[in-house]
Amino acid sequence: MNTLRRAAARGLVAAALALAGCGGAASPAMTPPGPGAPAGPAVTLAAQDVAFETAELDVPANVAFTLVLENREAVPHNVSIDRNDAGHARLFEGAVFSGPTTRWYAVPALAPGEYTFVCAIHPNMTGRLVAG
Amino acid sequence: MVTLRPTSPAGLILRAAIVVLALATGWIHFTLGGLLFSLNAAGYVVAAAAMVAPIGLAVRFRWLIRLGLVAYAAIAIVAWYVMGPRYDMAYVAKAIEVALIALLLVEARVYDGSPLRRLRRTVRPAARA
Repeated sequence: MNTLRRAAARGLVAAALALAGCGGAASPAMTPPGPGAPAGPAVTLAAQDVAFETAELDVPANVAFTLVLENREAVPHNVSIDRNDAGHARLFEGAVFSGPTTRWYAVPALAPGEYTFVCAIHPNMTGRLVAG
Repeated sequence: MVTLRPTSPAGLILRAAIVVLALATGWIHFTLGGLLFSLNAAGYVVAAAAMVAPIGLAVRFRWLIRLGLVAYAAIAIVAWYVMGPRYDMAYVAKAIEVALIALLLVEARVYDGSPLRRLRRTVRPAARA
C-alpha cells in the first residue's frame, strides 16, 4: 500500500515538474521574473480600448530590462520595438497574447537613443521609447 | 462521379463550406478589434450573405461575388504577409482564407467557366438594350 502511495506521489511530482517545464519553455519572454531574480529594471505598459495608455517609455541604455505589458482586454496585443531610422528595423518582438492578463518580456540592452514601440497587430498603437 | 450543381448535395456542401469559412475568418478579424479589422470582418459577413442570398441581383451576379471574395481574401493574405504579425491565430486565419479561395475557385470553374466569357455574357444583353 505504502509503495502504491509513494508511486502516486512520485507521479504527481513528475507531472507538476513537467507542467512547470512546459510553461517555462513556451517563451522566455513570457516568464514572469522570480522575486529573487529580476531581469534588470522593469517598465510597465498597459493596453486598453485598442490603445496604449502611455505614449512614452524611458529605459536605461545598454542594460537588458523587463517590459511588463498589462493587456486589460480580450483583444490580442503585443509590444515590438523598432529602430527609428529609415528602415524601421525591428529590434524586439514580444509574443502576442489576449487579455485580461499580464506578460513579462525580457528585452535585450538598447544603445542610447530613441526607438518606437508598437503593437504588431494594431499599428496605430504606438509610442516613443527613449533609452538613456 | 459526383455532379456538381448548385442544388446537388455536393454543391450545397461546397457552398455551405464557403459560407462557414468566410464567417470564420470574419469572426477572427472581428476579435482583433479596431476599425480596420471590424470593417474587414463586415466585408466577409456581407460576402458570405451574398453567396447564399436568394435575391435576383445576387443570383445573377454570383460569379462576380465569387471573384470579389477571392480577391478580398487574397488581398487580406498579401497585406498580412507584408505587414501582419506572425502568431498562431494569424496562421489559422490565413489557412482559412487559402481554403476559402480554393473552394471559391472550384465553384467558379464549375459554374462560371472563364471569367472573361462570363463578363461578356453579362455585358452583351445590357449593351443591346
